[in-house]
Amino acid sequence: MIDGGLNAYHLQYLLWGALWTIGLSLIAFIGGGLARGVIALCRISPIKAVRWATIAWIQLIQGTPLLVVLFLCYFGLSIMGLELPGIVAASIAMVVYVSAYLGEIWRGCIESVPRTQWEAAECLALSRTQRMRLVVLPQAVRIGTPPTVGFMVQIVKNTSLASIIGFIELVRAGQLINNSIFQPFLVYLLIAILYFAICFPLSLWSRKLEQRLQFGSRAATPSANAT
Amino acid sequence: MLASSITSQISVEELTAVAARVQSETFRPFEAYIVVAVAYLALSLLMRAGLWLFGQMVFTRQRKLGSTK
Repeated sequence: MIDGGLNAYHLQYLLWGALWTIGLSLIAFIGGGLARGVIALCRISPIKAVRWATIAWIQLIQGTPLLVVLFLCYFGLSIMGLELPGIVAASIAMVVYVSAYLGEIWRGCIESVPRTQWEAAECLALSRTQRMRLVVLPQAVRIGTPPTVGFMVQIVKNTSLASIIGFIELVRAGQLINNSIFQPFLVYLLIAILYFAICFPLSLWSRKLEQRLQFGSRAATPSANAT
Repeated sequence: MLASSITSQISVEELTAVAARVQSETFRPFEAYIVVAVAYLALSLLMRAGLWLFGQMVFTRQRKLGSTK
């Protein structure tokens, strides 16, 4: 172990890091998922001020790299006197990042529900909330699921940035191992394989959902043809 | 462009790397990174405006989304 290459202990440590990567991804996905609902609805709100504030927020997040958002969360919160461990700052940054991107994805999904469905709901004298909840959102969820799962791949890969604020996930675990055995290529190759093992099933799942829900191809949307 | 910030981790001397150096010299990380965030924001807005202008010049025949005419 002293003069050694990679051993079982290192692999175990890497897998442990991979678990944290998955954990952070889940936190980001669930937190961002809650926030994105709010953002998507505010983005198409009838009140102009709310809409513009949301657009500004989305532009702000989409116009700055996640790396910088991460630093701002990490240092900004510590300036306010909160001594935060890496995971909290990383979670906040990831949730902020995910909320802006997923919010915009879901805004698109909500707006791509055929216009006639909105109008039909209005003809049935449903209020705005009812129309959203009973007619539009159930259809938007069908459209939105494949891109959301696809975006999960992005989330998993972007959690690697949390390594620079000292949160021990897959990449950070790899760096620590590399510091002791000095075989960067081998270690990062292993990391790449592990990321691939996490992300590839997600991509496959996304593609399968897309095929099953048949929103990938235009011709297969029965609601558009029926109207 | 936003992804290029990651190259600072392998010591490419770009915006984020400079911010990291500034903050290690001044011990004021928040200020350094907020300036960098604004710079990135300005760059991305500029780029978007530029590309939009380019699009207006290249694709001259346009119609409003959703309209049939």
